Amino acid sequence: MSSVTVPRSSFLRTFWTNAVFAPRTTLGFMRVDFVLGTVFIIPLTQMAFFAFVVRLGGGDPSQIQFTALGNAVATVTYSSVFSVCQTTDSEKWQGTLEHILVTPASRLALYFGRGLIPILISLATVSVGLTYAAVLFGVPIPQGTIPELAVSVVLTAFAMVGFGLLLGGVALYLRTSIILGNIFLFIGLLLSGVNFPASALPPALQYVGDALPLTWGLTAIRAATAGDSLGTLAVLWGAIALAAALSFGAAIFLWQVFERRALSTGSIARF
Amino acid sequence: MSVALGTAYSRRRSTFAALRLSVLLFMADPQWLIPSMIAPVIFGLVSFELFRGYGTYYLTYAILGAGMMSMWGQTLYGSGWATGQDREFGTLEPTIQAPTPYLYVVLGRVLWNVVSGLIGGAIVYLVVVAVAGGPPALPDPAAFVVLFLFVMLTLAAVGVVFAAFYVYTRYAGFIQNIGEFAFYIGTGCMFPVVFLPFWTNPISLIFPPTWALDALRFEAIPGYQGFSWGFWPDIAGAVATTTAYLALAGSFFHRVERHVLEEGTLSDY
Amino acid sequence: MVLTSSDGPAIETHGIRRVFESRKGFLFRERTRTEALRGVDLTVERGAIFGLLGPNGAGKTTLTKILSTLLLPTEGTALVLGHDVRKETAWLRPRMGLVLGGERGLYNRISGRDNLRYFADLFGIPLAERDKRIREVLERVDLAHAADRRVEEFSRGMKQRLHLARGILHRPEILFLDEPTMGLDPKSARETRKLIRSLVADGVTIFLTTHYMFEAEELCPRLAILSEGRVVARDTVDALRTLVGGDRTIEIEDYGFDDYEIEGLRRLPGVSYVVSEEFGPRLRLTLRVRTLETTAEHVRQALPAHPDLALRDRRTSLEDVYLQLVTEEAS
Repeated sequence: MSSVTVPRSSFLRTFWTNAVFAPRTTLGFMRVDFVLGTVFIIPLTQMAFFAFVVRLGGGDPSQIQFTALGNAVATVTYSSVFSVCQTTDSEKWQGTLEHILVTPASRLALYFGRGLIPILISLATVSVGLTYAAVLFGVPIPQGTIPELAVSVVLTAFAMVGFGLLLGGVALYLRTSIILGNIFLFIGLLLSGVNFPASALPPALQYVGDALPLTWGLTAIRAATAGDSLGTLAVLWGAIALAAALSFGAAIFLWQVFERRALSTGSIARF
Repeated sequence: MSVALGTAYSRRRSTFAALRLSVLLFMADPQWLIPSMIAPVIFGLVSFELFRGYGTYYLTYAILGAGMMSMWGQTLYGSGWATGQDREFGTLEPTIQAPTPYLYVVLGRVLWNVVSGLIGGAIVYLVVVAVAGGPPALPDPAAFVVLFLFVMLTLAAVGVVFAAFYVYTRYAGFIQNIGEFAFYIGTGCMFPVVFLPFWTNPISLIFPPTWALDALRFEAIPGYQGFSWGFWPDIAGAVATTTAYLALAGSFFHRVERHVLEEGTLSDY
Repeated sequence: MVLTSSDGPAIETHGIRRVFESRKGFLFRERTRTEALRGVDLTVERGAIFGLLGPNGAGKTTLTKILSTLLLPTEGTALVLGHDVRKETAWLRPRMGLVLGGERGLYNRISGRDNLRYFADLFGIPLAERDKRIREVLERVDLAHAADRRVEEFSRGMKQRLHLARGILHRPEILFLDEPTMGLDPKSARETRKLIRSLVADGVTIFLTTHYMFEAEELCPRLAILSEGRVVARDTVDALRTLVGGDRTIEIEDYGFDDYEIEGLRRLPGVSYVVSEEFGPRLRLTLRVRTLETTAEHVRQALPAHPDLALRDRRTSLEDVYLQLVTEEAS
């Protein structure tokens, strides 16, 4: 009796293939100019927009700096949440999602591989935004705080991409997840302390804001630029890391749940 | 004996057919109602908080600013986005192949987006007024409403032309995302254009909403300091630029369509 | 009878070329040019069905899109119903129908009826006739029972029939059908072919592309074969048979024919073409025979070393013609 070996892609291979291949299937990543636009133009225009609004509202320079820094970080939503959601939507539109899901490839590697390039672009976006904040809007970023700032930025990028993956899982079931991306983009502007301190919000809304990774990421970045102690930062980093872990964990769970649900209702092919 | 039936298309009928289709597609997938409602609420609350220090008319500024942001997005980009959807669905080709110029299909979509933009604006008004505990003090509410609708018309004219970019290239959505805030800044959506560096003003004045919104603020906010020429030249500028956009839209769409047929990119998505 | 504006051919093309350019690459983008059509000359008479055959990538859909005004030719002229496809699209579009088929091209989230109603409005079908006409075409394509279901619930065949319904909704004078029976079950495909014939009876000119040879033979009195952007043959099916060396084909199969035997077959009277193919361990020889002088018996006599020869004597099919011409063009 002969036995046949069934080929199966390794975890790393699936992860790597999805990491480098998946962004190319989403339209914008095929063009350098759009990636550069996302990284260099969106942060500048969003920061300028809200800075002007604050100035019109009678805000002083420190308030303008507050807003500029907040929006510099908030623009990470485009490259993290939006792009990850769009990958799944794009697979649906092109009719390739079913063909991917019918393979025996590890779902963990499949889904998380798709987060790698968005993490890198998110890091670039936030870094560029912070540079604009310092150079154009006068946000003080002492040199000595750069290492702590870097850690905060990296953790924030991971957490936001994890959040995007979580939302992307829902896309397996819904027609499109861009709606969720939109919702959380707007909610972040209000509840995460982007344009004004979250303490100005009613307590109930503050609790909602605390559930968003962006809130913790932004708090850590503000604390790092303000030169807060390592002890304070460590707590914030822990919170972001926890948010990231919960997001990734919830993403794995939701992807599996929604994949099964979508297969049973037939919504996997609907867009 | 059968007679070809498709030789008498009507522009008005085609526009209303596209409007009807937009409504049907929206009703078939009403989940888009969520961001359409949430976005105005968020913008309203953010601008309410940011304009607190502005003085007596901060509520008017907040409502106008947030309402405009909501409507800018819906009206300007909604019809373009629908054209992008046509590409993805593969329905752009059969629609272009129909005798109706695509411009009239876009007009129908813009009409729908004006309506949904107005609904967004109404939501902003209600939310901000609720949070503020009372309506804004408007010198002339009737004039405000008329001018508000006029601003929507100027937005619609720009939205029609923007939609042509979605016919031109499948990348229009990315360009739109990248340029979105720049456009809000440049047209004075949340704050007067006079706040910006002087050399940017000529660019802003290319767009009809810049003029119309400045006129609306002159009317709604006593002591408003906008463009130095004042209310009536603003109205004239808005009318002139809107007319120019609408007049050019036809030939612009025709050129874009010819270009796409030459390049063979109509079926790309 | 369909009212038309002139008596000339339905389609006339001269030297149609179409080049596509694309760029790929990340930083240094490389430009590539693809010549999809390389000088196509075609004439299609009014009120008939004309078939266009060709392998995948031959340029059939490209030519169909040019003729239906969805693509401009790089060079050459194309007249449809006597009007230039470049300059007179406004005149042409109300009078032509296009069926590209496939999974895309319909609004999935609304019903079949609403899809047709939308396009009926874009075509300006008189309001008094619109709903009646929609019912008529839905009946004609056997979709009346599913008219009010969302298109996303349709099977592939149903979507294909809805495409067809949209194509004929406004009673076009000329209809371009790009593989109209693809994805249809045999019964639906047969009904579609019946519908196509009935349209021709109404005076509609049909320009049909298909991969199904039997369909082309059944429907198309005249056809053309496109290969690598060029027309390699155009005529009636019978005339095409003689083009490839005879309207009879004798196929023989056995183990090991040597060159001497094959040469002997070539020298038989009326044999214009001999080609060999391997089928596992056996070899199949296909002979194209022009006259009745050479019969199956003559072939057996020419191959005495093969007493157990498997032999089939049949009429040259369109598939034989197609394969021979396309293979010759490719080589």
